[in-house]
Amino acid sequence: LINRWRQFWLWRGGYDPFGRLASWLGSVGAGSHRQLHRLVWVAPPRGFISPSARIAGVDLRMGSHVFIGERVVIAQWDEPGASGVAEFNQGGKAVVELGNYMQLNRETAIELSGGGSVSIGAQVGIQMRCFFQAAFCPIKIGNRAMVAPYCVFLTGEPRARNTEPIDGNGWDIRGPIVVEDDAWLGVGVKVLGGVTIGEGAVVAAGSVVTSDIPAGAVAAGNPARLIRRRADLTSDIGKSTEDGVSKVR
Amino acid sequence: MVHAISRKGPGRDEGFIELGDWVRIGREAVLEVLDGGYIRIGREALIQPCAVLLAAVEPILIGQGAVVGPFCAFFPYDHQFAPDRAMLDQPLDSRGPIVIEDGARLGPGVTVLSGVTIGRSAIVKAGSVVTRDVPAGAVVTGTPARIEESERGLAGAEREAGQCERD
Repeated sequence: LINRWRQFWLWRGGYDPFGRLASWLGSVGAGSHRQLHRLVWVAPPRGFISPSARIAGVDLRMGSHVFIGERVVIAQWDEPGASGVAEFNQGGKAVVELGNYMQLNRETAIELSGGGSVSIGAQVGIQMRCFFQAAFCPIKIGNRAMVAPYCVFLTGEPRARNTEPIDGNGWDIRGPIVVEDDAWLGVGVKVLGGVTIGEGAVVAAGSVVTSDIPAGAVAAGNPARLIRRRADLTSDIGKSTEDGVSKVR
Repeated sequence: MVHAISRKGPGRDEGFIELGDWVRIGREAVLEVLDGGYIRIGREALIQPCAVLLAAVEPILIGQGAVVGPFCAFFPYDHQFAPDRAMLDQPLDSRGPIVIEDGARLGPGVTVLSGVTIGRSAIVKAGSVVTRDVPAGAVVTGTPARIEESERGLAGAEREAGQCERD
């Protein structure tokens, strides 16, 4: 009976006021945080959007079984004085694409402005408290990528080149961010604009990625540098043995 | 808000979270236990807001009177990244438990990785990523965290003694 109840409401779930009420009714007593993940299987192919998520002003295109966790924020934010808004903003809502089976965990924020867009592939796990700032440029995450907690993606920054006050001085846009398929970003990785992280690359915890990282690389540090290639590791060396990860670190 | 969740791992005992007397945990902190890990926090320890303690595979042990700053992240597990498999299929892995010894202090935004012991009364400065053991009384900073040049030669034992007096 409780499954019927959940199915009934979660089928009607969404991010408009009624959808949030339905999500809330469907998820009462389902626990919190990771325990909510199983709700994506209740009313397939509909996923689960937590009633405490705030999604506003964006064109959200979701695949099947998408999980959006507690207090996730997806919002379009246009600074009136930002230079180039008219040029880049094509008049529509910012597009956010979420692939099948992807998880956007709790307290992640996706902030879009000036025609930026975010596209996240299938089976991607975005862990808690990540931040995506897509200003004027797209951010694209490939299929099956793994993004650990506290990762930050910044396509631009406030202009700080001259002596004028930084606030209201417009933005310097570095460019789009691309994370290709199967990449793994560790805890607290910061990715700046104009960077491509190659297929299957591993970025170590706390790195700041300021330039492209080739496919299959293991990179670490601030700024992130290539330490080695995964292909150079024999299959048992990727494990945390004395001559494995410890050596990589 | 504290989230304490445990999930029974395959063939392992259910995880647990043990808080000593007078432990303070800030808002929005996440304490999570899964796949055989557990968390034990000693007497009078302070976990500041928004810290994340995710004990999977291996435990997280925090000593008496330790201070964990805001936005700290403790991850006693890793994914393997052997080249012959896609990242998503890689099993979890660990180099060992995370141990924060008595009276250690961690600044804001410190990330602690698996197999790390932070010694008695050590200080980890803001934003560091701790990948190796920190000796007792040391002051470390940076990514990866290293002993500060200016602090080298400073008697760690002295600082430790000071801490003991206050105890």
